[in-house]
Amino acid sequence: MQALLRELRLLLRQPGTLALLGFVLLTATTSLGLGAREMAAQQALLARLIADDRAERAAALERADDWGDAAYHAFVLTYAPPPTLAFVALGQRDVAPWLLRVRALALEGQIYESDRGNPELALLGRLDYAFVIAFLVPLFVAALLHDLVARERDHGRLGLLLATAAAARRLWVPRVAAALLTLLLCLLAPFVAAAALLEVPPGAAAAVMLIVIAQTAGWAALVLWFAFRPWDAARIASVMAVIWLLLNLLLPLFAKLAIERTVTSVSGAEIALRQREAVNDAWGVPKEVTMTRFFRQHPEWAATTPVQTPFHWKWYYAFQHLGDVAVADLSAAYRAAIRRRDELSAWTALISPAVAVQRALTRLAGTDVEASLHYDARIRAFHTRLRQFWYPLLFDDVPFARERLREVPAFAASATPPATTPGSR
Amino acid sequence: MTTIPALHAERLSVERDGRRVLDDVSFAVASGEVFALLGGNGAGKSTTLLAFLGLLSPAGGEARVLGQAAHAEPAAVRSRVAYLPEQAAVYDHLSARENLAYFTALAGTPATSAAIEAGLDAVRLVTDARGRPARSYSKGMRQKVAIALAVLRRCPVLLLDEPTSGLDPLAIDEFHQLIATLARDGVTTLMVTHDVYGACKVARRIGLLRQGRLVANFDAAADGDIDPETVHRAFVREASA
Repeated sequence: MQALLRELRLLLRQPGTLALLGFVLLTATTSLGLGAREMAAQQALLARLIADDRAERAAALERADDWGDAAYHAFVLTYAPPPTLAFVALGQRDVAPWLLRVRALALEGQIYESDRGNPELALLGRLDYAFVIAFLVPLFVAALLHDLVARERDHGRLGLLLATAAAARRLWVPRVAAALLTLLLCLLAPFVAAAALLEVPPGAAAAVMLIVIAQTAGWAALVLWFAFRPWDAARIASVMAVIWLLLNLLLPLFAKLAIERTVTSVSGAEIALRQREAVNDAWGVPKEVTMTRFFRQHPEWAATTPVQTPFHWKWYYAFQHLGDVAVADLSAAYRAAIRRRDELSAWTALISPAVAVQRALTRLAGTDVEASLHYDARIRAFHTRLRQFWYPLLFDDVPFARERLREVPAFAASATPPATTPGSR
Repeated sequence: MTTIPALHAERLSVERDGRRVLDDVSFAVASGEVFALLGGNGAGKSTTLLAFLGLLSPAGGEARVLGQAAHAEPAAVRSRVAYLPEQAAVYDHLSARENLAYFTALAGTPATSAAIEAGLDAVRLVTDARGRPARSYSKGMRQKVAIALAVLRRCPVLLLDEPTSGLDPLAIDEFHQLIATLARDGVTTLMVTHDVYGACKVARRIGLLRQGRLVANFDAAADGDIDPETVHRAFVREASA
């Protein structure tokens, strides 16, 4: 302990080191602050939209005078509220939808209205805590430790230090420990404060801290391996820069390119376009043909009274439904491709610590691809409930009764993605 | 009863980068004695000191400090040896007092403020400078800080690498007085240097190294005072051989 205090006192008197630690503290605090602000903004927006959604739907239903009209105008807000730890890793919440108003029309066009081209590895650049830990911590560790020995050698102190310390470990062990402890303090203190303020469960907070410690320790081991070579500081710094570039930027980039070439898929925008084309084309298709196709999907309503007027909601919802059917395979393939790319990117984590850390933090935060797909699945499930509510009223020719509109399904949020099932990742 | 020499190089050979830089060197330094090793660049002077510190392992023979083999028991040896490297570099951003507090703590013998002042008094570092960052110190002042460390640690053995290089004549004179004082207190000193006249002034015995071999010895006890001119001629002859 005395040795640690000795080195801490020395460390905290070095202006360069103090500036670096100050920068680390500022970066960690800023990233957490930005993350928390983004989550607060999402929560505020969500609260406002939930209130607006309720009022707008009530007004729309009030104006409706038949089931078809009511279903057409009754949008329902679906959403994935920010998980508690999302301020740590914004993850897919930064690139994929987390709220969507849906109605009983064709779904695929609604879901992919804004194409979610969510490349699993394209998370570079966002200054959230996960970015700091994944990409900047290696640089902080290198800046702090790369010249541990070279600095003393270059300043002519190495001989005096080694001779005075008697055993080298009495010098280097506390010195490295002091450097890493102060670095971890600057990284973790803002997180602990934020976690306390935002009431993060202790287990989740501990898991984040373990990831930070593991990332710091792993890079420290690598940097120290070079720091104890008889090289000058510039050479060690250059080698570390190359390793950082290779492991954290180039390898993930090449892996991403390889994954995209290996797992090809149409885009969400393409699916939305094809679905809309199918729906638009349906206006020119004889109604009997459309209805026959629809009854193949839903034989339970094959006995409904035939559509004989130029426009009828039953026909309208039938071709909307068939629009989804037309692109169902594409949509399933697209989601399978996203999942497959995510599975392959997990292999990238084996060669890139940055990818590993980012995946671990987004997984922990519930902002990873799995969470995004979970929200997608919840939208689909809810849309099915909407159809299950409206279709019997439409196709069974139930007389319009305004009081039934109070039974329009409401979306219930769930912030927690389902447990990972074997083979799903 | 046989007295163990404070420093004993016994057929010491050291190789660096596959090259033999110290070859079968033998000498002994008694307790309280000042011994100087002279030699040109690359003669093996600094290597000898590093071998006594256990920072270089011998390819043959051994370097013993107070009876302990330096390469076998480096920690025990270094705890009894104070080393003053050629560039007596201390931490620039710390004052003399703070440097001494740090280095004595590193040695495992933390000094009190009073002891630090006494150590700085012993090396006659001006009082005004003691609280200033060492970046403002001259080389002589830095060396005084390093020697104060040796004083504070009360090490029985002092290893000095080119201690007077870059010092002004007054600082050299002060330094020689300091070494003489330490010797009177029983501190054994091994000093490696280019400075023939300085070595003759402070040391009672001098060895001359050439290309890793000890080629001449001068002993004040046997020869009376060591004549600097004689040593200088030998130095030049060996350096140009």
